[in-house]
Amino acid sequence: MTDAPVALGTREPAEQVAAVAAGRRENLIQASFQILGIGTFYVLILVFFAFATPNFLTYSNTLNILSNVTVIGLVAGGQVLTIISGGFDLSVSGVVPLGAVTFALLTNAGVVTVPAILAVLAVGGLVGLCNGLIVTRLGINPLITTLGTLSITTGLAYTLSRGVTIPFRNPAAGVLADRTVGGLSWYVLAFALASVIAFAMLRYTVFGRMLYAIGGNRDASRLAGLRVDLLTVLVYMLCSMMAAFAGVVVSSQLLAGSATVGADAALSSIAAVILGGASLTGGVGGVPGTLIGVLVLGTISNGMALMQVPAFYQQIATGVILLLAVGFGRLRAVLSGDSS
Amino acid sequence: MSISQISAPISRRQALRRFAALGVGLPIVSSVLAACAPQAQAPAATSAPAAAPTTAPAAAPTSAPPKPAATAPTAAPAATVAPTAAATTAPTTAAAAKQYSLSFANVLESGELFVQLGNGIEEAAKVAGFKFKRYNNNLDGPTAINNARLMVQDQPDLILEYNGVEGIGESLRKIFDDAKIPFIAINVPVPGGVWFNLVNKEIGTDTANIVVPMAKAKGWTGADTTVVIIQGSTAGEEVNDCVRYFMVTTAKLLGLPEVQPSDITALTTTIGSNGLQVDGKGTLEESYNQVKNALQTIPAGRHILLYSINDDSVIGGWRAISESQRESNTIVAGLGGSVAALEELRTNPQWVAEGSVFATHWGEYLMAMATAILGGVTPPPLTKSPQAVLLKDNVGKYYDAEGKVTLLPPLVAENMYLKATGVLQKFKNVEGLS
Repeated sequence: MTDAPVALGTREPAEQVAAVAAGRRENLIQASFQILGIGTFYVLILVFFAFATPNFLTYSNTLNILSNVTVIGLVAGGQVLTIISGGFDLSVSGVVPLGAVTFALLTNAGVVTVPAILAVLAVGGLVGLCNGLIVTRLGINPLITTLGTLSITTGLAYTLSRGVTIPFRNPAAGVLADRTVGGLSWYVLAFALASVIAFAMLRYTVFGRMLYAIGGNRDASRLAGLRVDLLTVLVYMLCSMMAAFAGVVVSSQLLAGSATVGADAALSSIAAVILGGASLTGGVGGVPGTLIGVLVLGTISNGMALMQVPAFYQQIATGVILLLAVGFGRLRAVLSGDSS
Repeated sequence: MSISQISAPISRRQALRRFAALGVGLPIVSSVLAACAPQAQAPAATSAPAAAPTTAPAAAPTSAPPKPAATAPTAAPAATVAPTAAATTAPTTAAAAKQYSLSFANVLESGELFVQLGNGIEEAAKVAGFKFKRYNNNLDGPTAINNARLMVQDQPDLILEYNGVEGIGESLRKIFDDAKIPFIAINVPVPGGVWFNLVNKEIGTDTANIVVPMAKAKGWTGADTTVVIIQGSTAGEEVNDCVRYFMVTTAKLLGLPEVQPSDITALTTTIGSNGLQVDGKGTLEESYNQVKNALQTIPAGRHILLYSINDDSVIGGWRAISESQRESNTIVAGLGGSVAALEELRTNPQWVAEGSVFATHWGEYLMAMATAILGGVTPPPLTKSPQAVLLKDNVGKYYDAEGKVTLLPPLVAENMYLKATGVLQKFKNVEGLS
């Protein structure tokens, strides 16, 4: 979704309003096409697995899929902000285990759940702050920066946990997983809420528009007066905070903190975001598409497990399906005349 | 920084100055980092290892005496027992006269089992009076090869090699043989090395021999029970023998259709109509996810027997079962003797057995083996690690309340030769050894 150029101050007010409205309509149409492409593919996957295995289309399995996708969904929810702004964050694969271990240690030390979660978010924010400052102030490429912080955060997770799994001494700390509403665990509801907030932020706030602008053209945004560096730092902070919260969720699921969790968070979240229609060059993408991308990945994994496909074949099949999904989206883009 | 500053070219003098600064700065930074870097490599940013040493036959009262079997994944040397003649020499004198040096490459420096194993070996080396260096193979073949080259450069008297990638054994052998340094292969066999290991086949069998009667005592039958085994596919055939033979034995005891070991491979997902195998990759999270998915295919009222290759996997699988509120219909057996699993054994009524390999104390046996080898003893093809299947009523004999080992099981035929070295006696914790 990109902003239509609006030459402010050179038109009559009515013309300006009409131009803005036209731009919004165009964005909505483009976004709809993106979602329709991957959304249609997702429906095809659902239909396939519904026929392939009898255990797929059940209420409990639906809850299972939602539960499975929550962790990567949270990470992808932060990753999409970063990618839209023109960067990406590999350090999430280290922030997730760091968050998980930190949460386990804090709750075992007697810290109550909510303050412990806030502390973990603060840790995530700190990592994101470092990422953002290194990218903006030192001018180091996000790939190298976040690769470095990935190694640091992973090492920290192992150091804090001394390489061992830390079980929760207080089972109440797993409240996000143990409490349910209509069968949905609290962490699924938290994921839904976070997704709604992210969607609203991108779509209806100035901050969201500025992210698209930065991703579309960084230099032009800077020249237009946007505080590009500040926005970049904020985006990395948000991304890391989401990853840290994902660590809290996974440790609640497991009732233990482990430095081994979330190892594939970076690649899976980037794959979900790209599947959802975002572009690695920035300026394009959105939360609905990302959610569908997350669901595609989680559903494929779930469906093949239910079909009892051996793990090695699952890896091959997942790669093939991902390429098909991206190809499907690309075909849609070609047919709609979008050459980008 | 303004746009004009970004785009202005730098002068030749400025470029030379920056290059000189880099040329001076890099060596300084590198030497500072090298001075600060610990000898052991940093913990790996990978998931918990699938190459977990799994438990051995039970020395617990309920089990049959351990068989001297050694199942090797690549070759299958029958374990010929009791090198007692060789063990009557007195290697301690020779070893004690000179301070020998050892190098140890651990399979991974992350995951409770391997961290504790490595620390235990290091401590034991101190007690036994060896000079010691430690490396991290990071569960990676090229890293293991590189470490092997680094180790032989130091010319230690003996090498302890714990390599998790079985296929590179020949390469390792060549490096050590060319350097003429004897080596002990821990858990995963390396050609040419003296093998120290538990026997996974027997662990799985003995665990099933304990678990299935308990299930039958509850009235469970083959008609209403599903066996869920969590493999670690990349750990290799030997490590996964524990779950394989658990399934084979369970099928026999429950009156299910016969299952052959060859029926269960890394690609197997269903075993008859009563068995499921998932690949937890030896990790907590993956095991949790895979068992959660598998539970969708098991009808709600069905009984479940759960077992895996290591404690992290079992705990992950158990967590999936308890989240699905199916605990009361499940019996669990763990493998590894981790603190968390021992706590489950003590407090969780459904967790009925825990195989322990006492990995934290493998160092004592390895030091004794090193002493024997350097003293001229020819060990048997397989030296067995200490092992026992713990139950609720005997866990206190071997572990204290905090999960620390207080007693090791008595020596068996396959490691009795270590007694003559006198090394184990220094630790004062082996049952029957004073």
